[in-house]
Amino acid sequence: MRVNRISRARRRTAVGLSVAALAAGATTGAGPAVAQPKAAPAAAAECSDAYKIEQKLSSGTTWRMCWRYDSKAGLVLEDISYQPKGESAPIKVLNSARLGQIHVPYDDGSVEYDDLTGFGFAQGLMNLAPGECPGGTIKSVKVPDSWDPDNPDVGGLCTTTRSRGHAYRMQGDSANKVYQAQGKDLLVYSVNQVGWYEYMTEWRFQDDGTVTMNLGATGSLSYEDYDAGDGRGWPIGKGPRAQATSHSHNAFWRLDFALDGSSKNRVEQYDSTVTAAAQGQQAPTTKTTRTPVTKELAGDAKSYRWWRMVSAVGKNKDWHPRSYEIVPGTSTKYPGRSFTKHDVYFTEYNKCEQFASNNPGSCGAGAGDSVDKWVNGQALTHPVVWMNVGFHHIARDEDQQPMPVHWQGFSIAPRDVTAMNPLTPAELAGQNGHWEPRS
Amino acid sequence: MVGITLPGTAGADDTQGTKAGAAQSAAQAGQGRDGAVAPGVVERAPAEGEKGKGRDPLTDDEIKRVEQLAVNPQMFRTSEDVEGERGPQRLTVDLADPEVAELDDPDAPRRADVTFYDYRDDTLVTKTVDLADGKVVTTATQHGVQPPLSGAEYAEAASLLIADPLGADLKSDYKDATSEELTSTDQLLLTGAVYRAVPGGQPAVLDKCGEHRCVRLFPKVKNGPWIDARDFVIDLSARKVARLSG
Repeated sequence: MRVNRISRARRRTAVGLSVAALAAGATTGAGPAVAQPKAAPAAAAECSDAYKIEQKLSSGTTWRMCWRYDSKAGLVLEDISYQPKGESAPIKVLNSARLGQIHVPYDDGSVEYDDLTGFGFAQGLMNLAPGECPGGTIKSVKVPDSWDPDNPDVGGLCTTTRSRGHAYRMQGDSANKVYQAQGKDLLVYSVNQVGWYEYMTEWRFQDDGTVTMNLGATGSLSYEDYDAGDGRGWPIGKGPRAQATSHSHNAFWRLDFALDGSSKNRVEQYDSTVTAAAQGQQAPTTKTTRTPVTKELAGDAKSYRWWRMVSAVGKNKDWHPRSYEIVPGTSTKYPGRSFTKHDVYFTEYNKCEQFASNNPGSCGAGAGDSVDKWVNGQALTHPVVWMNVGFHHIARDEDQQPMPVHWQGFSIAPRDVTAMNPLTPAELAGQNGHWEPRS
Repeated sequence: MVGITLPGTAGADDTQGTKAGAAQSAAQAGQGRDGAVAPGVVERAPAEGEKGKGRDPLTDDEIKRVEQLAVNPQMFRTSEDVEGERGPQRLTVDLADPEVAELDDPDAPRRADVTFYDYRDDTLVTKTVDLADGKVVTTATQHGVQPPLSGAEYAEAASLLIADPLGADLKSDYKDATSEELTSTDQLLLTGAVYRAVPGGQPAVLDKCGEHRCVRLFPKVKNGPWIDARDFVIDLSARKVARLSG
């Protein structure tokens, strides 16, 4: 975006072999790589021990990050890196990851909240009871101007581990040999109260490199909003009278990638088209094309479309550029506001662009105060991802009481960060690319 | 791959290998012998030095220092806080994000963004202060931008409402809940939402909200219930309370 523009890097035209190979559905690997991967030097420690989260999961994968707490965004995770068992050094993934807004318009048009920038989201960090963080650690967070001034230090950040079931399963050659692993995740979460709602901000770091970020809403329905008109609410309680007003939670996440320690990542969009079977073909054909996203973009998710953030400097041991794929979750896109009309925004980094709507950052006259306005054709050299995931909440009887958590979110998944499955057992390490069984 | 994964077994066994190793790891993962997951361990607030390093949260010392550095005598003389006293209303102090050229520099300068609201002319002031040399790097002023309210502003808004005839409902609700009189904002936990006027959406007295700093309070009795006060908007800039027609 605008003002503090620095010299732009020339547009990269690195259409690597790996991408062509991927698009063609072929692989050209030649067994375990011996070449040293190109990696950025390991960055110095970015925070003191008290603000580090480091978890080595039993499968050998280590996640590391720093945490801090922002007066509007709440929990901020920074300098996030991933080190699967086969990598000698941490692989940096993100400079910064946090919420970018929670926008809550009510269906009857009566009110619209911007929970991060116009409400006390961050001030409302809640103490977690020990039982809410099973098997983990609850960290003390200094909350600026906390909701309860008598308790500025809130035991509000849980880090723990969980099992997620099968990471993989593969039948071995002999009947009694099964390769299987139970996946393990590092979980980092906090709870913020905003009025009667309580939001759970959950980050899930999987041992296979995937990161899933979810926002859960629980607490209590807005208890005085029971007079919705027809089509704008749902009867809660006895009979038809008390209509709980329907509303949307449009959550934004702001992700600032720095793959392999460089924020100069490239964005790519992939689309596949399916063509009816031609004469002599058994099936329809599908062709996948890559479109480099070189300028700021307001993107719309659709079937057969995905995006990835590609490292400018790092390659895996197969010499494929490392990348992270953006994996959208279920979303109800709210068409009522300009900034919620698209699923993802890629904007050029600008420190004043802090929140997806009602941005309080000072970006200068005419800059606009929402993310859609910041997509204005600037070249992407340091792309920032703004992901918009909407949830339309039509209450149901089961929402009382307390309201069961309803979740919304999405994932980022490694694509070619490692040359093989990061959890590959040693016996299968040779099965990379077009491998052939030894005779 | 789906975007949302379902929670698995909480604190599930995170172990493999030998029995001894497994027992040790189970203990680390907070599991008892019966396999039940132990509650989380509550850590104490970390000891802060004078200065943080890298991306550490700002220390209390740093926050205090930044607030002092950011308000020069001239700004202090010519500005007003939410109570109409001299000096701007303090809002927030946060660790600043790096400049674009510093994004990948682990030794990027540590800076703080400090925000104030000047009630004298309804200005949001954002200053960025370099924590190493104490210099104010940038100063920006904006009108019509209303970030979340500070605790002092919630308290002042509640005081105005309590003192106003329109605060009668709040006081009677408080008495119903506690059998006591509501006389001080200290009896409440306060949060609220910024109110921004829309054409035709409020009584004329609130039409300047947005340019003015206005709030709808969400008061809660300390250790007691919420009280619904959303019908009322407090314009802190004009020091007026009004009721939204509903």
